[in-house]
Amino acid sequence: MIDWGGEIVIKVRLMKKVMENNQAAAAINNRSLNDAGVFSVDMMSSPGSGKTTILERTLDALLPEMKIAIIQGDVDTTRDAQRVEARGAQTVQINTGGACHLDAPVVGEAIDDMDLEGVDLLVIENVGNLICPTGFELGADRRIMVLSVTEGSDKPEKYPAMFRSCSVALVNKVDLLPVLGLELEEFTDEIRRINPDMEIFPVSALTGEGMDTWYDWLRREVRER
Amino acid sequence: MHEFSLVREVLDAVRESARREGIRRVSTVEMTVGSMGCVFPPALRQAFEILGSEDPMFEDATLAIEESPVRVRCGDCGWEAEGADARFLCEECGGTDVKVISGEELTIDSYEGE
Repeated sequence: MIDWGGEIVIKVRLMKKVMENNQAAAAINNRSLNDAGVFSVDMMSSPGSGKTTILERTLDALLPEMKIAIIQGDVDTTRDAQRVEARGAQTVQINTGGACHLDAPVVGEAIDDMDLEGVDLLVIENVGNLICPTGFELGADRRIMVLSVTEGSDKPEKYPAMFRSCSVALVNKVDLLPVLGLELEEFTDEIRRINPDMEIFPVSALTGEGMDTWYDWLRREVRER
Repeated sequence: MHEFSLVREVLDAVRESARREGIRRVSTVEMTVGSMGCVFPPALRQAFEILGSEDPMFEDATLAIEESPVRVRCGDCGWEAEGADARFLCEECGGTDVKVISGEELTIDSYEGE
């Protein structure tokens, strides 16, 4: 038992949203990127969906025509950052030290460390996780998710908040559909059931199938920035 | 386990308010957690217990969580559904303008102390 010693217990109504600090930092990030004329995307997915391979291919295709910078979130290694840096993109690595998501203040520090002069596109590769990054907006113009067909088509229904927080989905590894005995429509239908407005790009980062449509989308967004 | 960073923010906010109110010891913190907010209440409670024990102000404090189920409404015809019945394609008119009207909350509602 707590001895309150006859003191008066006060109830204080706060009605305060948690993550306001993160939201405020995200707004600042978005403003700095906009001021620098940078179009930015926050890429999210499960581990092993092929985010980094998609990024490597995208750099190969677009680096000759635009300046691209990468912020790489990883729990503890620099493996992904080494892979994209080898392509010649300016890369800042954030090791989250076990944390399961990036947050806006940490991304803000990374942005401060970057030379944004002339950068057209910033890709933030979030930590592979379909839950934790959802609530933590980073201030990117668009949130994009990668769903690989090997994960199964039930993921949108299992992680609705993540699928609703994104406006673009890349359905990756479509070259494996025949092997898995699955149809692409199973994935697009499930995604649209949770997020009817989602723009969906079926791709295979391995064979290059569908990747041109994705590149064209990026080119258009960068041009219209 | 992003619940730890969330609880850190909760404790900071309550601490700041409590100092202003002249409250030295907090007994209860009440929060609303939406079922679509990607926050797991047991993990939140556990983080609250661990981080709270590091500060005399929160030593004896408990975290009371009100869970808010997801509720959706169709912007075209007004159809509403809750919990497991919630869909993002309207079951009445087939419309796609279905919005979440509750279930995404993550708020500190109030706290008590002396």
